[in-house]
Amino acid sequence: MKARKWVYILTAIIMIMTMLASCAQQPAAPAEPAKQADQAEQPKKIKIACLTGNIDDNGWNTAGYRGCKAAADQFGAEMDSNEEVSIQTAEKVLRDYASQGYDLIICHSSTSKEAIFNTAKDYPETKFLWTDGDEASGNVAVIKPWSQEASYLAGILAGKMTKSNIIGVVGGMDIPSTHRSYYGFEMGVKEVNPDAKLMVAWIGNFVDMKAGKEAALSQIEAGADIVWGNGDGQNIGVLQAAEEKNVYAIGAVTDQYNVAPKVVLTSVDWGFLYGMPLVVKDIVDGKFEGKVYDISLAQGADLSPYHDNADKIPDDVKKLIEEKRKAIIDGTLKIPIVDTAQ
Amino acid sequence: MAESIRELHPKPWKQWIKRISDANWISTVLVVLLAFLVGGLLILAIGGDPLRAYLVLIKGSFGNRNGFAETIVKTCPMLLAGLSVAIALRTEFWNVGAEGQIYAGAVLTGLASIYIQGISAVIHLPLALLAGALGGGLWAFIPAILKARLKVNEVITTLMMNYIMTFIFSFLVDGPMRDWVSGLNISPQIEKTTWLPILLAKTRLHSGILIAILAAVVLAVILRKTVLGYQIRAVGGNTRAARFAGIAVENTMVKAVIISGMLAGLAGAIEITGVQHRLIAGFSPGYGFLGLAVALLASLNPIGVIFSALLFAALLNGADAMQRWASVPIAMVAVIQGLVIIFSAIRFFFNRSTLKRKAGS
Repeated sequence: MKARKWVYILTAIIMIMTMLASCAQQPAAPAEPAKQADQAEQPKKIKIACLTGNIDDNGWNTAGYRGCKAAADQFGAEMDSNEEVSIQTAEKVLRDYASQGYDLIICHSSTSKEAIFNTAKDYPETKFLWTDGDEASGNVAVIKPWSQEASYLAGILAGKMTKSNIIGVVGGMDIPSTHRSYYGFEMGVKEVNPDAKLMVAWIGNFVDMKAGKEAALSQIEAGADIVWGNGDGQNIGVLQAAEEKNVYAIGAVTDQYNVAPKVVLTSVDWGFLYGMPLVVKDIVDGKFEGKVYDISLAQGADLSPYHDNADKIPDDVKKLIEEKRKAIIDGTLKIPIVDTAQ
Repeated sequence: MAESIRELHPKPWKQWIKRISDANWISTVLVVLLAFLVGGLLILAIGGDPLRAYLVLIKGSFGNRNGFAETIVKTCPMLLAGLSVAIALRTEFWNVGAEGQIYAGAVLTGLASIYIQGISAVIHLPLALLAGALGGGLWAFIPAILKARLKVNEVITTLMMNYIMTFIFSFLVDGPMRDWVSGLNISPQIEKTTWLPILLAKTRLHSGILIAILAAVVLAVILRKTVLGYQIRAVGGNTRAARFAGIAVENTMVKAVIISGMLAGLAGAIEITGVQHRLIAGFSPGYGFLGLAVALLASLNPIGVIFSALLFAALLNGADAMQRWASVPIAMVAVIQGLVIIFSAIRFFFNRSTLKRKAGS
């Protein structure tokens, strides 16, 4: 009996407090319709959702987020971002955004193919951008960075800078985008330094920093005096290894100078910062298609600045790279796209 | 005392209505209200608007077709995990190993649905689900028999076996069962014949929820209408009295724990066949542990578990929306969950100690 009495008293207290709480909140309520009216007067904004991993990774996710942000800012779009895209959760997050009427959902994750196409099928009106993907169709567009071009320039740099004639390359997964990068890099190296030997390791994923570092360390042990991280998360480990052993390094995907300022000469930028606005522009102009958007060197998939390491690179090397760069831009030099192993 | 007598002698139909208005129900609602009230005060304290936050939370989890579907998708594993914990706890067995049993179930479901090929869905899907239940049951059997025969504390064994199973799982998807084509540490896609049918078009709402609700009903019937159920309730009500009455207490406990493991294994099976369609490490974000909260909130009542699982799923699913539209951090949902757990645990131990005191006097 006693317990029941307490239950009644507690119920009463809760009811009273709920009423009090709702009274206290009432003055705030009228503010809302006014706000909505405000919004109605403006022209309809494009709503962009940006799905990445942790955007502070100084690599892949940072690059993707900056690209989304640039696209949204450039076209005055409303942007929302989610940094929790993993293979287990991608589809849920995609469906959340799609059901909330977002116009464009940018899924910056090579591994989310099934999640994207499953969602895109159920939301034919919503546009999806998959970076970097290997298949576009219907309402799913793909950005294909022509990373082989800047990689070719990076290869020239590496071939010229090495003294031991051993160059280390630590790749993430061997997927089309990293494969064509590798091909371009190798082509650049061989062109300026046919004697140089390339040591190549693919660690098999894009997340394992430690494995990247181990691979780079063992290449440095074996005599490599310049290492290139070709891919995403493992790059951080590669650059750290280079910094520890004080050998030159080249980054990828985005400008990775900040990761190891002493040793990073440049990075192979994949150009998401320039590619994503192109797609949004097509949406604004009503010309969006589920197609592959190629981002060439001329469009921004370029070599990053040398920053404070510029004076460590001989002037003739810089001149050679600039010449080749111009040749690529004006179309006289073509770097073939080789997406798969032959 | 009155409570336990009624438990031992189920009264006819009309008594059910009385049962619904029983204090148990009210106290459950109270626990939830209290948690939301305290949570609301905390939201106020960090400068948020609790009413708006809660409205957005509800809207996020039930407000549209997709939100509703995703909430039900999340309800499914939590319901089964809740049932799993509840049935074991009915015999005073603290199964904190539901997470490991979920993974164990997923492994066998994966084996059955990837490597058995070319048979009709009518056979293949039930086979895959049964394999999952079997996996969970086997994994739960180990700590059960250890407790029954050697009196090894089950909290430690079940908890530790979670790690063993999640690491076995990671090893499998990283090696023997890995899909090398994908380049990721995931298994190949399971056969289409083992995919649970979708209930609501254009969403992920799969028919696993029907299985889960059915499991709850079956469990309620087992508890009320069968000899095993009677024994379980007797052991849970008063172990010593049950022993004096000639019930094989250890035997009953082992049976209940196997059922418990099977339910958790089924949760894993349904996540694989309904949602992921592959074995992926980390596919369960701790459903097994949430099961404990779900079961406690429902006072170990199988039918109650349906609703408490729904509540927890809605909380999880609406959290994103709450952060986005009401600027209340996602962590707040964890706080509310924590409050629900604390209040239901207080009630659980309060109930138990008063029962015991009454029984002892």
